[in-house]
Amino acid sequence: MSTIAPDIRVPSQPSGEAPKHHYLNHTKGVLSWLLTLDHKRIGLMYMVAVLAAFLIGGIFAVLLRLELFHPDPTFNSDPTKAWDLYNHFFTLHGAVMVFMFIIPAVPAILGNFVLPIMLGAKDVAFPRLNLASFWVYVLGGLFLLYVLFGGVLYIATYDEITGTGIRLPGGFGLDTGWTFYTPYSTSAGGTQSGVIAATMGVFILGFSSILTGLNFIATIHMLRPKGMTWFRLPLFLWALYSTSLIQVLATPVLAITLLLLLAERILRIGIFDPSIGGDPVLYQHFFWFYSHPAVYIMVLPALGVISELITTFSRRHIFGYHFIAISSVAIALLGFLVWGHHMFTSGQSALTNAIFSLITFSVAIPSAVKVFNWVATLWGGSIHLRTPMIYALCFIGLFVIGGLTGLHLGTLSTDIHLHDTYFVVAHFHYVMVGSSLFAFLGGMYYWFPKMFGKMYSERWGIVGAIITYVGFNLTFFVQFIAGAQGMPRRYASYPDGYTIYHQISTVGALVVSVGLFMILFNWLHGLIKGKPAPANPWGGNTLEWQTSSPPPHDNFATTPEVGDPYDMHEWEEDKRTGAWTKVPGKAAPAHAH
Amino acid sequence: MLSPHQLLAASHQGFFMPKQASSIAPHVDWLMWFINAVSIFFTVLIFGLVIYFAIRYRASRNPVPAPAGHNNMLEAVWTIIPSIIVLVIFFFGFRGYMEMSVQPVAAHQVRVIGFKWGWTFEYRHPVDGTPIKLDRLILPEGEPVQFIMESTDVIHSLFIPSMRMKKDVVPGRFNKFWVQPTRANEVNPYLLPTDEEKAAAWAAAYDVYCTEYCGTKHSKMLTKALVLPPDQYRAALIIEGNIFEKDGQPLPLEIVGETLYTRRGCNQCHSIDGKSGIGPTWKDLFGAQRQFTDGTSAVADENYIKESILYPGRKIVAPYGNVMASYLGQLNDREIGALIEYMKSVSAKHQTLGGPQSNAD
Repeated sequence: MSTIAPDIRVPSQPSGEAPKHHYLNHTKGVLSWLLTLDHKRIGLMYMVAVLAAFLIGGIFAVLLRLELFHPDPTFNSDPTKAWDLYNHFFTLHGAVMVFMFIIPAVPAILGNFVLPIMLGAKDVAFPRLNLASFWVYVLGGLFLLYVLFGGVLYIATYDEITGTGIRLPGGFGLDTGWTFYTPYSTSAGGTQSGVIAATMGVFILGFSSILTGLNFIATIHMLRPKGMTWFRLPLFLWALYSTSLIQVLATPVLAITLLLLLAERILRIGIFDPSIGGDPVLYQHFFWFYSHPAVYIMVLPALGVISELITTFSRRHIFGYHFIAISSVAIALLGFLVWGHHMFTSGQSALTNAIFSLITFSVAIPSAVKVFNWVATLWGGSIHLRTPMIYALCFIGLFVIGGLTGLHLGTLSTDIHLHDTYFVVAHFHYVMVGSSLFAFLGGMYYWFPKMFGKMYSERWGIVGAIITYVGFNLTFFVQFIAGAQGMPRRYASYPDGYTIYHQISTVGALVVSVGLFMILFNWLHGLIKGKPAPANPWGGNTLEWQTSSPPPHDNFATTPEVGDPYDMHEWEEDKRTGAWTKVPGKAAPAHAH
Repeated sequence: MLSPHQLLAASHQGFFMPKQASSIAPHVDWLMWFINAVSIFFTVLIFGLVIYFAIRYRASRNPVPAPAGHNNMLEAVWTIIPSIIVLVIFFFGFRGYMEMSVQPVAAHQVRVIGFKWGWTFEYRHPVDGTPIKLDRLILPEGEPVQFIMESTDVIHSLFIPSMRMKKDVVPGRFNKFWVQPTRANEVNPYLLPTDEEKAAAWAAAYDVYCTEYCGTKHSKMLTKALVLPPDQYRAALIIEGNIFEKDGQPLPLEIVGETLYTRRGCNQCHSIDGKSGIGPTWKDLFGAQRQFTDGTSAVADENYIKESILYPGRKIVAPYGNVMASYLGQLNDREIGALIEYMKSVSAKHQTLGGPQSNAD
């Protein structure tokens, strides 16, 4: 608000002197948070909601890994009930993680918080729409969770003798997997099915995604300050812009598909169900037309975060800025043309398969070149191995493995063998979880001082990152081998020969859990007891580092100066306090080579 | 408890991929290893560079970073070389896929019917051409076999890992694929005398999985594929072709019914030991009073059972769901009669006078 006097110390806020007025204490009371129009507070509210969804999805990940520790039923002595329970577990895990965690994690939390500040703006273009998209997310999320959890509760409390269990009103649960494939989803469970309610939940969540995307596109177009040309836009914003394009263009297709599914279930119009004249493969086309681009909704913002982390902690201008910026948009657009590679075994024509395979490989190139650009940025840098940088380096490893195993699946003859096996499970966890999660965690550590004005523990940050990294690889690397050996996905039980892979994987999942809780405790500890953070703890030159930590309500006390976002040579570190200050006019270092 | 090594051997797992048992498998595996080699090369290269740079250019050793980098030559090289590599991979994948897609003109034909939760494989009798329906696959070594597949309910997917072959089984359309098995199983169960030995020989046959999620018992929709030399394949089909006789002697109908009970997948949902499954148990079902979801009831007699096999949705016993697919056109009257006799044999309420059992009393 303009009534606050500009704090002239802000641009060079020294360490230990937190600003008196900032967005966290700007107004008080619960309602000042729940109804806030401040993008920073909305970002933090998203953080609480999305991390809660992550916790729920994570608990069910561990439960399903425990069920798979042994081929025999674990959670119920009656095998039929144990298998039903497992089918509900993996559906809940997948749906919650995809729709409520990975899709919103980076854009809605980090994007909301950072985007306007990086841009030098006071807020997003439509603050009220931003608040609306948050509450739409909460509404859709609760809807979905209620239905899914209702099914788990019913089976878990089912009593053989009375023949019933605890049934929440309408909480019929869902066992279709997050993909809702027809005709299973249009026939399963009869009237006792959560398909209608769950699709409504996903439909509502989709609107939250569309509104956020629209808002970001409008903000980036309209609110750039003087001097912030497109090619001075930080790469994270290029990534968010590309992501927003996909959100706005692809999510409506999912909404239409889900509406058609409802129309078929309720009105019995034959669209996807062959028993009333529909075509089940049509559903797969519609679904993947959204869901493949959605993979890029999950991973593009992550790539953007990594570009920021690599350049800042290498103290070196990002290598190939233009290529990285344009490749984000290119990946977003090409991502719309490859959906058919999910359907190589569905019976679509050989020619269609060949075309989709070829286009799929075309997406590999910009992704690979991004990795080379990051490695080239490290070359000759002055590398500070702080926690966010550890995450960025781990990310490169996971993204390389996830990306290269995409070659096995994009290739026609090998995909026939690998399709719907654990090889696919491992591949998409490396890309969607390994890469997106590590980028999200790295981004959280990177902007943590800016968000809360406090520092976290560097030592525990690094330990947590390494434990999570080791656990993740333990969990998923063996799944490549299990999959190559033929282990099908979505199996509640399996032939004995696969036991060893499942046991290693389950142990890995427990290690990941330990790592993730260490990260959470490190954040909570930093929040409560952390040392005050300087305005610029890393020496980054993007605009968010040129305001105080935490920023004032209006983000900047004075209009920031826009320059090359990756020219960091004017920033100097005070070794004693860890704060970086800008020395205007400092000469660029002489060529070191 | 078997050691992991023994378990691997039992399920035909080889090193990294299952043992090869079809003409296409060597091609697929060769390409897998080619892509593995490319992947390992780039993984080692990038991991190596990242670790080397993180150490060599750490801030304490290299306090002054190099200026902004740009190198057109380097960028062109690292775009063009991966492009060529992926085009090569695409080409070999496409060529292998074409081999999988184009089947030889002459092939054995197996009709596949997928249902929740089992498989029916329909063969032609080698002598008289009548249909033979099995729940397991028998395949001739060295001869092409075409699968013509349909589903009676939801989407399933037939996957034979050792043959590197998989295709979705989609309701409302026929999906097809073909394989040429190349490695006969070592033991032919049809040449063995005892049931235990037969079962062990079948257990050693190739695994067949359902790989499209289809509900509660998706992970139990498993069967086996037995590969035999062509003459033994033919002999096995002739043996299987006549479920009403054994060694030229007619079998009692309840024994025939028991064969159908497992072979046609009834056992997936209906137990005979009184345990409740996806559907009601058959133990003591015949002659019992049945309570239906619409409030009516009836005594389970021959007509009721026949109706429930052919039109399963008409009368649903509480608290079960309407899950079963119709067997209309799948079972003939003689087979339904045999199934009814089998149900009688596991029902205490029904006692036939004059049968072998009453003679023994």
